[in-house]
Amino acid sequence: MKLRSFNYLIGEGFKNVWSHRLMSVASAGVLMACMLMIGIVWSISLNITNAVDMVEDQNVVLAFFDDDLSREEAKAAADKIAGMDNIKACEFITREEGLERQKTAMGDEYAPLFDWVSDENPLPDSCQITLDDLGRFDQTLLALRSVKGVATIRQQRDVVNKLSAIRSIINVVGVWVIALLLVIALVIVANTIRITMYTRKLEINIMKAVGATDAFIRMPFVIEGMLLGIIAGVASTGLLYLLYKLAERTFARSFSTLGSFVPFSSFAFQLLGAFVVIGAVIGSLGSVISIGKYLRHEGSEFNAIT
Amino acid sequence: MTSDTAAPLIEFRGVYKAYDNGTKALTDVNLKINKGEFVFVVGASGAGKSTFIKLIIHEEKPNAGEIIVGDYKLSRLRRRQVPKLRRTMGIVFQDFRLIRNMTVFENVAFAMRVVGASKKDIRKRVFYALNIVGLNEKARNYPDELSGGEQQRVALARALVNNPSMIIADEPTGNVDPTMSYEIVDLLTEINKRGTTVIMVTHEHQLVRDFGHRVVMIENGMIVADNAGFAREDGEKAPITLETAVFDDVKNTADAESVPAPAGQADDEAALAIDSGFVLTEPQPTKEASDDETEEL
Repeated sequence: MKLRSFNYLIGEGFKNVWSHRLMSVASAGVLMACMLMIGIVWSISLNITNAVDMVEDQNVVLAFFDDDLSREEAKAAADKIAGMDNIKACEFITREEGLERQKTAMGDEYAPLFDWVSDENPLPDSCQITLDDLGRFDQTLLALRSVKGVATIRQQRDVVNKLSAIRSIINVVGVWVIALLLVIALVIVANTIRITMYTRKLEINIMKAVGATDAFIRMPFVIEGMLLGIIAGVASTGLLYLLYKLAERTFARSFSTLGSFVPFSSFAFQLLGAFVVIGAVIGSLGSVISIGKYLRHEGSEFNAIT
Repeated sequence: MTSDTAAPLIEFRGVYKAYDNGTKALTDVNLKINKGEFVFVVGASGAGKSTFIKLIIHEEKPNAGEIIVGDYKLSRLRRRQVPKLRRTMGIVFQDFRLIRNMTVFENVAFAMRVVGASKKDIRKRVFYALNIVGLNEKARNYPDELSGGEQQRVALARALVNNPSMIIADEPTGNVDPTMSYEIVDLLTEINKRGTTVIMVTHEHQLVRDFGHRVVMIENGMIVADNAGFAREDGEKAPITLETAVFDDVKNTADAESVPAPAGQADDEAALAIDSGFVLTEPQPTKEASDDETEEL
């Protein structure tokens, strides 16, 4: 394709958006609705995952070392654990620190109970371990048990398993819902663009009759679809921002037990980028599908235009 | 106008075309149209005229036989080559097919933009084409501001603007008044005199009689009459016009009156053919070739 044709076609694509503004609004509106739904699903998934992460971070495995291990030996064992596979963090806790933490955790009400242990601390040195992947919990636990000097391990397996399951479900459902919405968006946009195509049947018909290539006929529609997709992407980001703020205000209190809302600003640019790309891809792909079908099966050059 | 070189521009060799619904549209069509010829294609509704044109522009493909258009053997034409074929022809439709929100200039320029012409060339050629059809002054008007005849002339300018080697006009006078019809055919004749081959499908017998170009008559999917290649008395072979067939001293190769005229809607065409001293080939009965069905294709 010649460069001047290319420039002309890009110009035509922009012009078409304006000259068929009613259909443009319809196409962009459909795309916007789909992207908004994707954005809502994504936001929910993001916030739930974030909450689960926070809970997970608090969920640790405690490894207690043998009583007869010296402080240095216990520290060496903790360092060994820190270097193991699937270990996110390993914090060494001396027996004194352990006791203090225990007192703090139980509160002032139970403080007298600790008086009798002030001279003789029954707690051994320990380390607080956070795992990377909870899916490999059992294997990691087995590996921890085999570390020399580790006497006992305390863990909350049930909680870990539940959290792991919730996150997996959220991820899978989120991906499928978004994929489904993308397909729905593509189908609806392709059909909406197809309607716009029928309003321009005459132009396509003339183009074919005078020897336009399929690429030449397709190009303005693709540019138009892409442009509408970008507009819809920007608009739906703006709209999602408003909805997010509204949700934050409405659900902030009930959500506070699980943590706070992920701030919109922390993902606004990624979301905008994703929406613009999704919009451009769906808009142009929808155009390609529609015009491709039309050029292959319909749009006879010779039959009368009705 | 007859060609000096008599090189065929379009050739049909044993072409058969049947549609998926079983309608036989064309049966064993053999025809040559030389460069620079002006050919009227006549026939009743559903006779196969539209299929004939669709095959030339490669909108339809034949079931059997070979069609050659210019340098293109259509049986070997790939999909991506179709635009190149189309650029060798200018197509004029009965319903004008002008874009209403474009001016006359833009409508004609549209055909050049499609082939990637420069702005300078577009300006030059569009005004040249509009000048030929006598509509330079209406370049800024919109189609709705023009009469039917003027609109068809714009369509003609659009067909001409890329300097095609042939003009294919499908009933170009079908939507204009009789006076304008003559002007349109006059224009086509002028264009033909400049060397462009013209193939015009029409129902208007008076036009055909009055302009005296070559006439190909299609009936029930077959070419039943063609006044090309008649021999003059002086023995020189030349394609002859309807006018010469009627008025000149022409030695016909068959006794036209001895051939039965096709029945039904074709009576008028048959009468025209017989009046003109055509060779009429007896139409073979075609299976379920309903006029209505074919017309809707």
